[in-house]
Amino acid sequence: MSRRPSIWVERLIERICIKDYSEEIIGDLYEYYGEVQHMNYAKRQLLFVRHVLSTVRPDLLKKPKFNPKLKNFMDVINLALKLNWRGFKANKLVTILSLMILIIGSVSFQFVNAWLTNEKTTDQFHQNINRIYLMTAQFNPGSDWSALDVQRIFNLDYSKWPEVSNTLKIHGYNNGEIKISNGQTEFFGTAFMADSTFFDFFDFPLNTGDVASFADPANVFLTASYAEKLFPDKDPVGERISIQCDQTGEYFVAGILEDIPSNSSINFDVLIPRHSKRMWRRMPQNLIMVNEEFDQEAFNQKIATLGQENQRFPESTLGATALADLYWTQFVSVPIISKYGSERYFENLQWVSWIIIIITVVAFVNLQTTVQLNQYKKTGLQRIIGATRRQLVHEVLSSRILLTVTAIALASAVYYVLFDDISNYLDLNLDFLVWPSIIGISMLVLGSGLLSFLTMIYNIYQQDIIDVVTGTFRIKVPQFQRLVMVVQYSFTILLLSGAMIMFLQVRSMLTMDTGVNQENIVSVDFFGIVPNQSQDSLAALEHQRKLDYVKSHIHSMPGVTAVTQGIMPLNRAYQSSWKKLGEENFVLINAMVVDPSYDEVFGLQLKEGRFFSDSLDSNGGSALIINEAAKELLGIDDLMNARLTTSTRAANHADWQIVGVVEDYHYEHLADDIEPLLLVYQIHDSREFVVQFDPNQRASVMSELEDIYRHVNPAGIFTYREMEDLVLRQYESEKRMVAIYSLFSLVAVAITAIGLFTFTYYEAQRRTKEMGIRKVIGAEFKNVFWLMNKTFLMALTIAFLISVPVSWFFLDEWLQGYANRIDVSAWMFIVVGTFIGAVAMLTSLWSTLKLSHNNPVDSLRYE
Amino acid sequence: MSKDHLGELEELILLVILKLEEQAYGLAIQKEIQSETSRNVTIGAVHGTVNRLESKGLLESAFGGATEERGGRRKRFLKITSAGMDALRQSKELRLGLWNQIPSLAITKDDTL
Repeated sequence: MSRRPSIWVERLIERICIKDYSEEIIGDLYEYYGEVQHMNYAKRQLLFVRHVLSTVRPDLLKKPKFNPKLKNFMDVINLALKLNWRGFKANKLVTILSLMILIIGSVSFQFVNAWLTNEKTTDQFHQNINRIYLMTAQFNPGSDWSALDVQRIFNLDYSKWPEVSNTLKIHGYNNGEIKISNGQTEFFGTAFMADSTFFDFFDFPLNTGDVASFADPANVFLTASYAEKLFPDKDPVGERISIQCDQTGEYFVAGILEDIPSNSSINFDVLIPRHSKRMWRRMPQNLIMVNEEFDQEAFNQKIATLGQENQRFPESTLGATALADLYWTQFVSVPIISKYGSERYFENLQWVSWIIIIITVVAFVNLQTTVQLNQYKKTGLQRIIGATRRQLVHEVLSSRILLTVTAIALASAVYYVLFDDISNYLDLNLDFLVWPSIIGISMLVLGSGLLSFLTMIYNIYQQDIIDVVTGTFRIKVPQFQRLVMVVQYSFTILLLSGAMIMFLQVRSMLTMDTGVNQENIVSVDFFGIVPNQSQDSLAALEHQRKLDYVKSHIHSMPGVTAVTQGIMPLNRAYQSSWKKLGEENFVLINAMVVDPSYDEVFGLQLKEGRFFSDSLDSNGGSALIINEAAKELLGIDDLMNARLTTSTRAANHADWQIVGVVEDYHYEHLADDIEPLLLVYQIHDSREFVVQFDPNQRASVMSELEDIYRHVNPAGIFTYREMEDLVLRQYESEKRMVAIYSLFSLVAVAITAIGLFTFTYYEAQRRTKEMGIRKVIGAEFKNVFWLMNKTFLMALTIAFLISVPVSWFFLDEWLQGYANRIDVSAWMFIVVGTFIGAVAMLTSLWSTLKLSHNNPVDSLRYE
Repeated sequence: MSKDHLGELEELILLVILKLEEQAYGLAIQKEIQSETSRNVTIGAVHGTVNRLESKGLLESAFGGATEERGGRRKRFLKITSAGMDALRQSKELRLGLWNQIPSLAITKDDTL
């Protein structure tokens, strides 16, 4: 028995095909449909649709009824093209401007949209991502959660938990913590030491090789671009690489992974079998794969107190957190996750995308309506000679289709060309995807096209033919258009003032005196990963020799003004619990390790006491320096008698002596207040060296640093980090916001200006005669000019009055997130308003000036 | 000349119609072409070509009976007209003529033709 294909097939073919043919075609299709029943549904439907669509061809199509001269539907399309081409030539300027609006709008929209989609789909390409959980622990109720090797510390047996179907441990070694060598050159990279279950958890596709070979401890996998870096001229598969971190080892490249996509929060260059060594020193993360019925809350309740059986951690709590959530919540920070998302940032950009949509749609519809209303005479005439409203609708429809298709094609091309530059400029870190881009662009363009189609149809049905004949049809500047202009300008002002205030805030943060020297300071990591003395005493001896070499040379270098070993005061504090001796409760305070020349390099100011000195203090001793905020927090009045204890090293140092107080300085992001800080003299001898130098001798200092580095690391690549760069990097996300807001507010200004330009252009045409008469009866240039510009200046003023309070509110809200912030003040809005007003005036000037200067005689002859 | 010129698909369809004798109609032609040449021709393409051939006068047609699997639609059986036969013959002669003019040396052993 054959099933019937859907009825629309029959209807379609009967409607478009010549009657004699339609019967047999439908018959054939029915028969065919019966014969392909054995195939699976999707394939069957696809084949069938293909056959149905193949019947849409000139030979088979009906002759169109409405015009006997046309032979078939192809002629209809040809005619539509011809008519639209004429329409385009008659309105070249407006068509080009409309296309520009659509292109600028949809391309900008697509950049934001691509980024939003990228964020939304983060890690979703792993099929099992929602079943992967990260094990976390908290040592006591007040402390932070951290992702530790929970299984080992608390001696858990995951196999006893029915919810857990698979487990995975990963040690993440970040860039700078591991060296990879191809036999000749050493490279840094990010490496994961993972169990062989890695590919059960994550779906990173392989270019070559087989995931099963990851079980072999002699194999490693590389990502495609890292493999290219290591082995530029040959096939990497089968090549030997060696690694050096706290372990050393040699491996064979067994597989090449596709480059990690931009919507992955997990990022690595090298995948090393964890089971290839007995142990890795870096703390691994425990991931578990849970079954479908997993209930996180119940599970967390069940495991919460399991860790307390370990006597060292009687107050500990265990928990599991979904890996997919981690990207957004940043609940714990783990080395395997290389980037985190920000919901605030996401929402911000969602707003930007909405504003772009609104401005584009509004500008396009408005422009097209203006054109249409100005052609009222043409359409009126068409109707007088017998055109029906329906035919006018057909004409509008065909012009819409052509315009949108052209816009989509051009916008996609523009997007493609600009993609690299813009995504670099905005630092969006995106992969270029063809179809999603075209779909994103099409959505906005088709939406605008549809809306303008509907408004144009509405206008056609509104038009009364009698008014056209008698000439009483008047187009006033419709209220609607004024409203539209107000809307456009409001959003433009909103975006532009946002961009400006963000810019000012970032600039103020970048130029603010943080209390710390930032210029002419570089840090060099001479030793990277240092061998463990207990494991390799020979290597430890070698390290000591190198350390002595570096120390003796770096201090005597000409041009170097100060040297310290340690880290720069940038966001690198660790938290630990401290209290005044005799007090009840510990408080969490930031601490940093420094050496005695730290204050010299960074220019710290002493308030009380003294800084560390090599004659009075020893590395690892129990002296402390605190900042003013810490002094206040701990309630210390008398330095001499204040003793502190810490929970973390209670066994080593019963009490700590505060030897000095430094003036508060910013060591974190300027969004935060200066937090209490303790400085401890505990410098590990593998720490990097931070060098302050004389800017005039920069080149020689750099080359000498490189010489020292070469001596210590013959195979390594000399790199250094400049403090000013690192400071700038702290404000990257803010700078990116400024870039995004400035770019898109310029887009908004451009689109609005195009809209205004057309408006005044047609307004000038429409009122040519009126202005002629006004001039004849005595109006002067300035009266005419004012009259012409009144409409949009009014709209601009209203928009200004509406949007200033709104943006003031939002921006003030945004600035509240910064401890060190600028104040929103009126002059900022005046600047924005003046700028937009000036652009608007310039846009309208061309049409209105011409008109205002026109000889009234010509104006009266017009039409 | 150009009016009588046969396209490749046209020629193929004419030949298939001859082969199918009394049973030549749209879907049958499509299936025959698929089985003989494993070329996936769409139903629309067959009908389009057939109708073009008919309007050139190379084919004639007559409706047959309606059947159930065709949803009550009739088949249109096709027959070649004498003009159609002429066109086919002409096309064959043209090709043969050309083949015969190829110097035998130009066909080497490798071009198993």
